[in-house]
Amino acid sequence: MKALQIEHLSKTYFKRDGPVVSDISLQVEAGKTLALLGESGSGKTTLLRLIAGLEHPDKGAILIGNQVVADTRTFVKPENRKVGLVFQNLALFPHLSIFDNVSFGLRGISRQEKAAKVEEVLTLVNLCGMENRFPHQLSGGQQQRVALARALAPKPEVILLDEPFSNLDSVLKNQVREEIKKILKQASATTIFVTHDTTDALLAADKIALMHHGRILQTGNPVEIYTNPSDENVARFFGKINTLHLHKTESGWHSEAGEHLNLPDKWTEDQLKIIFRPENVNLVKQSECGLAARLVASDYMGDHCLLTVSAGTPKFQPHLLFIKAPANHNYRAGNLVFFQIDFHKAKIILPSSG
Amino acid sequence: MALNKYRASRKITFNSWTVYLIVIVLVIAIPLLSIFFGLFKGPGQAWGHIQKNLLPDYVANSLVLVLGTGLLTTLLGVSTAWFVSTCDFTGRKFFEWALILPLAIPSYIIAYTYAGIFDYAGPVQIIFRQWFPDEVFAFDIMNIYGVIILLSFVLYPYVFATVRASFINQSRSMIESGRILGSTPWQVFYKLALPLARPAIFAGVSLVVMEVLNDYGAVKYFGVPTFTTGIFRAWFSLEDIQSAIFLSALLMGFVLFLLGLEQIQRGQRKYEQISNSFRAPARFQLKGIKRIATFIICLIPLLFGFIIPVLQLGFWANKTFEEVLGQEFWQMIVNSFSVAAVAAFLCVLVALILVYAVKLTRSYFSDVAARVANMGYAIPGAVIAVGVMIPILALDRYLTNFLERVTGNSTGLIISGTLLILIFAYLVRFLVVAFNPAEEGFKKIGWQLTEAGRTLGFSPFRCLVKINVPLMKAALVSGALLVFVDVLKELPLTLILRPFNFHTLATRAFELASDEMVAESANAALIIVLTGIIPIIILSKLISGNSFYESIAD
Repeated sequence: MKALQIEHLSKTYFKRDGPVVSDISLQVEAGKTLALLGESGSGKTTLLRLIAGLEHPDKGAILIGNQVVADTRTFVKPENRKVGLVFQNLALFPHLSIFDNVSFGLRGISRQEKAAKVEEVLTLVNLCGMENRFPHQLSGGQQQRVALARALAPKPEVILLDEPFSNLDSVLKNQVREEIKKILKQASATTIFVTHDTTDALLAADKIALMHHGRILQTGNPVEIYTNPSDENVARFFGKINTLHLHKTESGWHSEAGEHLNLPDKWTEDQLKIIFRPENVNLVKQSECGLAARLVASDYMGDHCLLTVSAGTPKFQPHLLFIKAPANHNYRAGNLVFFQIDFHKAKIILPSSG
Repeated sequence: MALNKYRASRKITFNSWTVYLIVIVLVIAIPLLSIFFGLFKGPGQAWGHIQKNLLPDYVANSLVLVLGTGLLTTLLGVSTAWFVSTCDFTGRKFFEWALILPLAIPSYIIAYTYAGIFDYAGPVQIIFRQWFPDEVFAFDIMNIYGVIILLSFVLYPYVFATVRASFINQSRSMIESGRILGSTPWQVFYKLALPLARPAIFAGVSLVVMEVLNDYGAVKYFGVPTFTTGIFRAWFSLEDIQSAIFLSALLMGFVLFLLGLEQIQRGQRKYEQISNSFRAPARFQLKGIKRIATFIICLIPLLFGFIIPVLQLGFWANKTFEEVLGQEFWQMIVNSFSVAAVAAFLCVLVALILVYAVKLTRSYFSDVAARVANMGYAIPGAVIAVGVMIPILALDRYLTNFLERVTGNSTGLIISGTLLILIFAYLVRFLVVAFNPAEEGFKKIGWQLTEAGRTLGFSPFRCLVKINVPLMKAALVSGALLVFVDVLKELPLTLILRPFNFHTLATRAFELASDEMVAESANAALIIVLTGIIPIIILSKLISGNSFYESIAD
């Protein structure tokens, strides 16, 4: 069942800046978590605010559950939508206790029911016994969980989280991410969260929608989107990539990085552009028929080294490639290295024009 | 699914808050509009006389007053603000808040207090006669220069406060890098701090100028004809309403011109910087003669602007309170305080709705609307009084005619001359005084709490009541207090619009002083001054600015 459907949604704040959200369509299954991933200014927070009803869309429709909450004729005010929103800065009410914060959205029920519900969600977020404290008396991670509890308490159809991990330092961040993921699964809440951090998206989401300039470039589960990016921009977002232009001659395949390449038989085009990740390149011994390159730089990353090498044949300009290499080795700039590309893991972007 | 509760509502671009906004702005703009449309009726019969014989004096005197007080308050305000903000000397902490105290003394009170001090029976002449029995005392302060000096001594705190806030907010690293690059304190001041504080200086001086143009009591007492006294004269002595309208329009044009200048000045250079560290840069350590000189420079405005007049008022009050404090006096206090309290409450309420409506509707229109609604403070009280009276008199005439036709009896004027009119005029004039703290309060809370409330199912109105108002209590109370004291001090508006035989502390003090009963007037004056100290303490707290919620809301 779809908990949220968005159809051709557009929003423009100022004409001269162009649309902030441009013709976006999206669906989220009930109980699943979607990450809206993108750089700042890509329109992801605006999309979140449109869903919450804090902004009016110009075009398109939003359905929560099976009910239209926004289209050209309808606009349900935020207070009447069944959404929970956790703000980036949490927006806890500083003058209210944790109990009052969490019970804020619970109305029209008796005091006992209210207390029971608050206890239920506070148990869920592991904050029992904190009812009478005030937000400023809690740690950052605890405040985050109160905000989540407050949003969960009225049992919304969709929970929206705006950059939920961005205010936390890196150690706390890993811990909070795991906690929140667990809580949301336990509550089997349909969740959309906005982030600019690929790691957060890959680790916490069932599905990722990558946004750029107000559009969705690609939607897919983490494995799909990482290993099978729809284009160069998507691929680049998840880390360093290598590009190579290939063309077939009588003597075999040629590229900027070398000649006589061993390509999969299924590639039938004469001209190709491919992308592949640094981990799809392996260092080999000279005897193993590798391509040759000059080492330009090596960046020590702890568990591996990221090498930048300058490959190329005399015919071409030097071509830089990134190689993920074992860390336990002494790489020195200027050395000659040999490598092989795992073309089976490479991705064809388009038949190359030259 | 229990979705029936969340029924879809039709999209409304024109919501109820837009309506509140428009209604408030229209009502507040009544006085301005009535003066504007009054112009089309043409000048009155006395206009020729006014234009030929009086207007040149009004223009010249008002200009000289504005320029003189502008310069003198800049000198007093900037120098004291610099010393207090950046230097270390004896009594600095005391001066930080004490230098704002002269603001508690209304211009008309300082005027007649000093007139009394330099009077034949005053302390200056008594001492002079004792020391130089043979000479004639030839020092007259009852002229335009006297007005400039005296007004400057009570109005410089506007410049002091805004400039000091600017000095405090100037980034520590900027001042320190200036010093590391080898600038002397003096160079740091005029090359870095002063240019950066220029918008603040203009903002402070423009407040001073508005007060100067609003003043009626001081210039009237010292016999300096200005626009304000001219409006009174045209209205009451010449009984020529149209000429009063024309003078009001001219004065308003002058004020709008000055406001425009200030806006242009602000627009040209926008280096209002946000400093991340709230720690002030290390202070300049003053020693020896400099330390003493700084102390004296800071003491002078405080001495002349507050200590001497308050002592004199206290002396007079002590002499006369037995005969003055009676049934009538208490009635006057009750009158003043209750009118001020009602006006303060109303201003805060309207300001709250206005700020919230602007926030909710978020459009260019709402920004403009808020500006229009807040123009009242720039418009001299006498002008507002004229602008309020014209439509009310017309309405009253219509009502009485109507009632006469219906009942056959002639009733008197119904609305004019009631407290309602007076309070409405206060609302027009002092709305911005409550608006600014309210807006500041909203800024500090941030808009996200309201949005959080709405996603949790609260309507905008409930969010206002449940979230914003409790968090803004301090801002709202301080806004109310500021309005309260301003109303208590206000003279020209009250003089024109008060009901017959309705006395406030301000009007009574001024009347007694005008009737050569300065000593008797001191009792009422002292109450006004002492009440006026309360918001000054609030004001100084606002400048040093650390709010309880600030740290949490961020």
